[in-house]
Amino acid sequence: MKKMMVVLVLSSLIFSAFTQETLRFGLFPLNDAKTMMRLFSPLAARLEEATGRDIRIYSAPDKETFQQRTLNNQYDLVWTSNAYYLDAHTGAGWTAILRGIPSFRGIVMVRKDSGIETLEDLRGKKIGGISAISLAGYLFLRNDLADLGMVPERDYEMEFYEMAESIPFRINSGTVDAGVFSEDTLVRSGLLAAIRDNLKVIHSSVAIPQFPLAARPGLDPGLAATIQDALGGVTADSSALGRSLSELNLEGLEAVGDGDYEEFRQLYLKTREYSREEKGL
Amino acid sequence: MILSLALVMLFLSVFLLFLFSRQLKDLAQARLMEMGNLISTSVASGAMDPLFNEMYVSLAENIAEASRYPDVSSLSIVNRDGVVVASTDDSLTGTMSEDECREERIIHDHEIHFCHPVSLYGQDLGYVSLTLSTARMDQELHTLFIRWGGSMGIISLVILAGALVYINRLTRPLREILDVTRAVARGEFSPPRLSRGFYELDQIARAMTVMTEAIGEREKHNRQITREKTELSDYLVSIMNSISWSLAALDNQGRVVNWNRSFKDLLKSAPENIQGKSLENLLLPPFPAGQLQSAVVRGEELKDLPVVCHQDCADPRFFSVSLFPLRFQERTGAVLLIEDVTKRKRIDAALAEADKMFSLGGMAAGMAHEINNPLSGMMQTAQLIASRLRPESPKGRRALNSLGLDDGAVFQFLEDLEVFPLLETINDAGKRISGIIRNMLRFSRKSDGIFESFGLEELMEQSLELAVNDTYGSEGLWFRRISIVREYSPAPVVVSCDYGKILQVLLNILKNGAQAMREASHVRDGGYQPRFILKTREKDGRGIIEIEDNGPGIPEPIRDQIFEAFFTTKKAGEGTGLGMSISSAIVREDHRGALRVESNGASWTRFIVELPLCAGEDAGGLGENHQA
Repeated sequence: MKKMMVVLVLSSLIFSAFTQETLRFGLFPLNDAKTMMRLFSPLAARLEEATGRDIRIYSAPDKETFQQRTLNNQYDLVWTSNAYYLDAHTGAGWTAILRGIPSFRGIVMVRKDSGIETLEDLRGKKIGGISAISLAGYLFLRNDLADLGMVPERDYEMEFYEMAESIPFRINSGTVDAGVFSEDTLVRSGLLAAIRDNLKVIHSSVAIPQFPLAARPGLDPGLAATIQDALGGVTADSSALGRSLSELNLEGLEAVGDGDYEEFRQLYLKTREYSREEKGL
Repeated sequence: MILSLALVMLFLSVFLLFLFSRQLKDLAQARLMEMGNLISTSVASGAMDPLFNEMYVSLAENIAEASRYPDVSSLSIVNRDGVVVASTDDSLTGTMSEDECREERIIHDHEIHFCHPVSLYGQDLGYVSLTLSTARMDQELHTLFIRWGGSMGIISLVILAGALVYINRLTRPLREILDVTRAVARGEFSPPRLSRGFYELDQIARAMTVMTEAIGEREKHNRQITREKTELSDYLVSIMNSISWSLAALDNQGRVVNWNRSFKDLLKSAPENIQGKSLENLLLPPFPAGQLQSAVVRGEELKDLPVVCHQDCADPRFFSVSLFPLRFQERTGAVLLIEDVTKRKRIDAALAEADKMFSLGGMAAGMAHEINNPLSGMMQTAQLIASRLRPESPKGRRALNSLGLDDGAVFQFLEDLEVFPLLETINDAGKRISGIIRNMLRFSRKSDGIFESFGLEELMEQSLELAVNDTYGSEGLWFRRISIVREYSPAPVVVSCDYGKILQVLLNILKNGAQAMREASHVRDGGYQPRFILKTREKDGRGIIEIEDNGPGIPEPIRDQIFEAFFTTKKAGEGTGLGMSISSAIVREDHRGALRVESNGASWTRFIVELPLCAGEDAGGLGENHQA
């Protein structure tokens, strides 16, 4: 018995030492391992530098598995989507400590000569969006149209295009009457400058924050603060981390708390509610 | 050479087999390691996402697919926590120490272990542990080496055979060229044409052929020139040697540099004792060697210096020595000419003797003519006496009657005194003298080329008579002691001849035979009877006279020499050596006959004279002249 105790103590010490030294960093499965490693290894390196811990990056074969692992606290830190963060925060107590900047908005654009001025004018129109699950590329508009009593298929027709940059051109060409997409789409494509003057924004969403970096519940608060101190204020400069941030369309990182996601939480909840309604749940 | 080549080929094959076997093994091992790297890299590449995403189920498919590669002994994927997350070996479960994958590649006896880390941008995701078996490689290498060794052996044999054929073909023109070169060296300039070879060899062969032909032509020309020179030289030497004069070429110091056979015979010295020797060392007195030597040095010409040599010979020998300066290109010297004039001297003496004899003959003829006249008167007077003393003579009777003598008594008186036989004797003697004189006149008469028909018996008898009367003193007595055996042909054999010359021939043979038999009598016992056997006969259209004596015979070595001029076995002063030579010339040249001698070299000698028969003439034609 005594020996068993010794083994348990030693095992505990070894596990403690292992956990003390290594941080498991989970990444929302957006891309393949190579791309994810390329994009986030500079961040991991900065975290190792800041914390003095060994950072191991993990991901998951799919979002659900990732979220499940997150909820199971298999990671110490996660870089995850806003919706999953909110679910993890609500379900498991994960805390946002950093996020990218700037936030962005979803916008609704029409041709200036289309005669569409309000959301009501979209009734019976054909609207181009990014995808049925895109918050900035569809869901926020659906929410606002639903608030006006307009439902898809019945009151308007949705057409989704995976390439967001194509939607303004489709508006300009008259393929669709209106388009909904992230406002930064106009910034990313220089080609849109030629048709920009033909279009106008008739509606936009609330600010949608970038993916947060969340900490596992129970993680040393000092460690979280250290991370916030070390990485908060990092900008997309010429450093390896800066270049990675640029590739992630981020201008920098900022320290945040869970309260900074309240506005988005409302949007998220409305969206989830309308989605359930659509599904008849 | 072929054995050496085979050994080199064998050694080279073994060396190459050894060298390439090592290299091939290294290469195969490198290939295996490359394959291992490829497999492990491929598996590692495929394991990135599963390891990153900690989704290990798909790794089993990667493992199963990779394990289908040959030589894969075991394949495992270990995550960054050291947990074996996929493996072909079910026994490998749990954790695996990183020490087991400390080295990237570990080569054991029959295995190669690979440990391929899986990492991205400095982030370790785990590693791939791969073990390849070298058994198949070793087996294949073993099989390959066996096949390769066998193939190398076969190839070596084929190459060797090909090389032999090729070398044979390559070297055949060279050997032929060598043969041609040797043939040319031996002086054979018509070797077989060289066979065609490779281009360069063909060119060499052509050049060699052209060169050989050119050399052959030149050699042929040179040989022609050399032969002509040799022939000319031999011809000149033959000319020099055929000259009876002794010739010697001298340098400007009087040393002999060249000579002919007569000169060598004169000196009786070997060539090595003549070459380069001065005249003073070669010519003994009475030759004026000093005088000749001085003349050579001074370049003087000497002509007809008479030299008489009495040394080592019973007969004196006479020489005429001349010296002529010689200039040949840049060289000077002289030509020495020594002529043996002994024969000429003898001929001169013989001619003088003949002239004297001719004079004596003419005088004898004149004397015979003067004797003949009173002899005729004496014989006529004797006949007249006998006629007048006979009883039937009217003039005798008238004389007896006038004297009143009884003729019967007188005649009886004469009978008693044998006057008539005496007178007859006188008359016979006169006739005999008359015959002798007639023969002498005939013999001594100068030949005028008139041929007459004579019986061989008559010629033989008259020759005997001349021989008896030609000898005098002891010679005459001796001749009369010789018995004559006549075996004449029963039928007359008539030939056409110059009477005087044929008598001279027969007389010469008889006198020589008589003299030989007289010498034989000196060494034989007292019962020796000299004898001539005289035969005449006709054979094959020729009249043949044989005169055989029983003298000492003629030895074989000199039997043919007796017809040469100046050859004699007689003592000095007893003969000129011209008798038989002249006789042979008379018979052969003047009469187109033959004169031969036979002898046993000991006890007899037989001379055979063959003369053409007098065609169409019979014995009744005797004494009728005809022109030869």
